[in-house]
Amino acid sequence: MIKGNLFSDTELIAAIGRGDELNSAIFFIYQQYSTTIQSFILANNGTPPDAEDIFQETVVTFIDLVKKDKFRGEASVKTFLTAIARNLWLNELKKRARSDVREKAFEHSRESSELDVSQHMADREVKQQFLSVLNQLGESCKKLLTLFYYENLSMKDILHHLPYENEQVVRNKKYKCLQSLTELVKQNPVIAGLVNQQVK
Amino acid sequence: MEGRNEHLLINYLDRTLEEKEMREMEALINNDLETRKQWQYLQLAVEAVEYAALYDQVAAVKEQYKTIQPAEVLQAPQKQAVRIRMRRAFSVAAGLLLCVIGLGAYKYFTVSATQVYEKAFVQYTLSTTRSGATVNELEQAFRNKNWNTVIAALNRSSLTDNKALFLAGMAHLQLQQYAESNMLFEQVLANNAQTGDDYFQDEAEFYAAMSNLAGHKTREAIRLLKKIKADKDHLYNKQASQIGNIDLKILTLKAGK
Repeated sequence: MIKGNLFSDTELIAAIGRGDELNSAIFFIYQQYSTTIQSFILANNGTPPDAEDIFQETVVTFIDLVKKDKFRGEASVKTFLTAIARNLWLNELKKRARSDVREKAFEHSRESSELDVSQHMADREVKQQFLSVLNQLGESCKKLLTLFYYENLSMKDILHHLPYENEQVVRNKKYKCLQSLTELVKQNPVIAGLVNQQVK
Repeated sequence: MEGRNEHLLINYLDRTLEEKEMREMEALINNDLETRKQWQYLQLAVEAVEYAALYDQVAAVKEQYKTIQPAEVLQAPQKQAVRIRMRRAFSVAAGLLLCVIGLGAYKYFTVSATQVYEKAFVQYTLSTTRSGATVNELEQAFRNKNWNTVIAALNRSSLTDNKALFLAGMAHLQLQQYAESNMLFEQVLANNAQTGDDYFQDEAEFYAAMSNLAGHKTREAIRLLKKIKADKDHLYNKQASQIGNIDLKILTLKAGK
């Protein structure tokens, strides 16, 4: 069970950065901010599943930015999360091509002093493609790459989690998995478009 | 891209190359477009792994949060209902408490020795069965409510008969001469204590209590009244029981000041 820690903004950022209390930090964010931010989505033409999904994506984006050191406390966590959620929801509304009037009204309702996080946020479509390509990868590869690149476990430690004979087998398997994933990434038109833009 | 280069790029990414190989790989990435592209795809692949893992982790925590949250949501109205009920109960209790406090305060300030005396006092009616020459004169004066004559008759005869003493005590009581009346009642009690008799014992006790109340000797009055109330066979038990225990406690409190 996740312990219900209380974090100040500084402690929260530090916990996310270290990664050792990430579950507690995520739980805290849900406890503290999910109601307010989901209410905002609901108040702006979102359905309850929309609100839940956008908030989840908000949390992922927030943690991703903190881990990449792109949030340094220039605003409060609440303000930053709200700005991310607004950005994501506006993006989603545009994507769904809902009523232009409603979108414009929503867009105009944003305060001029509101924190602009769009510059911090990578292309949302690319992130969604990340999830897509990982789903195309086999479960064992996904697990192995996650243990290595996300959990930062050594080959030796990974042996305790996956049924491989020795470290060399793990190393070979991991190499092949990363090759497969890279191939899927290359084949993904959205991601390939991004790479082609960057590498010119 | 050649397999060897791809392998080296992965090792470069994992930082498992020798320092010289690392520098060579860096140079290749910077100078070779194809290698740079491959490097970008590799980085995006790892970024995809990290993003998907983070997404799954947040989703897992969200599920845990949701297992708690519905219960809280369901409990909220109940809690609110309980709170409302509690609030009402507290309001009623507070109202009652105020009433009790109000009544208590009213009771405290209205209960006094004099008030209890007036409430409990009952006129003594002389029985005709007990007789004697001198006492008859005294009794006659008593029946006539000629209190001074009663007292004079007692003083003249130097009687120590409990009946004469008691009636004379009652005469003093009627004349609001509480110290004198009390002295005579105590004499009755003392006589009985000496003889082991109970002649006019109950009467003397009760009216001694009344006399003490009226004369503001409250502690002694309370002691006697408690004794009478505790004795079901006492002649004045019913009369004394009209005085409530709360009244006695208030009198005790006031007497303690």
